[in-house]
Amino acid sequence: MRIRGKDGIAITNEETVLLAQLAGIDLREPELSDVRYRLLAIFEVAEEIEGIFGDSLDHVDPIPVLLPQEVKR
Amino acid sequence: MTREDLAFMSTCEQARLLRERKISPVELVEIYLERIHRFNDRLHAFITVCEDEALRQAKTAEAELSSGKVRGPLHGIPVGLKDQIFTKGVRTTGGSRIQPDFVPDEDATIVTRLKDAGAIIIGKQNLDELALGGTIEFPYGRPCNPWNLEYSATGSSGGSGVATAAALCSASIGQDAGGSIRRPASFNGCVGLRPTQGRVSRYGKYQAGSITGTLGPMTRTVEDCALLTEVIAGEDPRDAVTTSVPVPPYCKLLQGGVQGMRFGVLREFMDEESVDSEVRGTVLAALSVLEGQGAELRELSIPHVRLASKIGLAGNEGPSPLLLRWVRTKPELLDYGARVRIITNSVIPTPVKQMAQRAKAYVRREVLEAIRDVDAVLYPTHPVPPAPAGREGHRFTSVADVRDRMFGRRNHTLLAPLVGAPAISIPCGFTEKGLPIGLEILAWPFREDLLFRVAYAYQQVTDWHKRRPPI
Repeated sequence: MRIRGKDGIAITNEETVLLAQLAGIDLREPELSDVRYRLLAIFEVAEEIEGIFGDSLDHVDPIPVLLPQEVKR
Repeated sequence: MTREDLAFMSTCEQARLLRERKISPVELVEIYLERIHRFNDRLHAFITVCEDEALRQAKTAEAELSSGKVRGPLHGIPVGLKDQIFTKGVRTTGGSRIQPDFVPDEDATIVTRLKDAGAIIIGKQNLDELALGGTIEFPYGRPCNPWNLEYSATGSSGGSGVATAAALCSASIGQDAGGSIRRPASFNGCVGLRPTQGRVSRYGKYQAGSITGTLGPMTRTVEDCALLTEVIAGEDPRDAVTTSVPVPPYCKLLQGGVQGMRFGVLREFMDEESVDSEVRGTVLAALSVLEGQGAELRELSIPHVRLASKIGLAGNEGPSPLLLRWVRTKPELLDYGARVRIITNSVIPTPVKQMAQRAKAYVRREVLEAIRDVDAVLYPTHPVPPAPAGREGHRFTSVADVRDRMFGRRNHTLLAPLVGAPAISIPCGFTEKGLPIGLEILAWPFREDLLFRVAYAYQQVTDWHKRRPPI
């Protein structure tokens, strides 16, 4: 996943406002910069995860609860 | 025996004395109400005190005992609830100004179970707003660490940890999505259990938006924790995540000892670079105690556990529709910290969440494979001691700031929710400044019995849990 601008991973204030608008939220300062920094950190995480796991995530189901076979020991 | 001795007594011992009619439910409730009146202005542990109703229930409990009726193992025991848990007829604020007068018309399943077992609900406890963590301005006052009021009680079940450690109630119920029971247990010096996901019903609480949020007990002793877990655990048709896995008689399984048990010591959570030296030294000493009791310690390495907090943050399921509605329509009533967390969780792109959720499932499988041959895994509940109050809620000013504060330190308590496994935090020592340090023990899913057995064995030969905060 590449969420990059010319200076690396990037998202602008305007793009952050648009994302919030899509969720029906009117986002302004001071929350705007704070949310943008958090998003940038999360995008870095996404890149890190992709770099570590790569294709091996293709065959994993993102099920948030324990599966019965996982509970068996 | 003084009234303070009675207040700090374990729940199990109080319950025994109540059944033997050596103390009365009214006396016990009055002792705790008196302590709440005396200390709550300083500690901010309770938002709502159910004074009249608690006394009424205590009188009923006393009459029942007089006629030989014992409702259950908690008959006459005053219990506090994190104010995220719905209580019929008692306001439930969620620690927020957003609907401060909301009065649920039914009890959460866990409240019904506590009442059926004879417990008396003494009040609703303070928390980070809507259990989201990161609150900057607490609408009902910031919970204060009873060991030093200038230090953090942390959260989000901060009021529950403070009230339990300072003996403002016999025991409490908190909620833990990423450490919200275990970290306040560690910081305030009490026992806190995050049960296996699906072990305890979540029906009837503000849902902060995460399926991993699990209700669990906060107590002064491990035996009390086992007792409360017996009461609250079990399948609930109103919570689809709960399972029919039988609930063992935890209290009867406490005394097996640790002779011959195998414990994994997680290298990634014990390294000198990321763990404070006082915390590390204290936890190593606790491990020696268990080794001295006949346990075998094995170093365990699972490198991807260092991703736990990153995966947890990026892969969160997003806010519930209720929280989203509030941030859209009444943002000014929410604290800045809650507002920013709800908004961030609303705008994380789906591909990012999808990747993080798959990574979570992948690492969960890795961890379960790695711990298959040990009985439990041990590490510090939190890698650093409690910090001065007010540093946790924070306005981020750079990406580096986010990296420093949101990742890394939270890995320890985010491991159990990542795996879905149970984990308990128990007091294992104090810093030079007199602040508590917690040992976290994690076991295979639905093996809370092993956690209790290990933790109980430790408490039989140590007295950290008996110390009283200097309030």
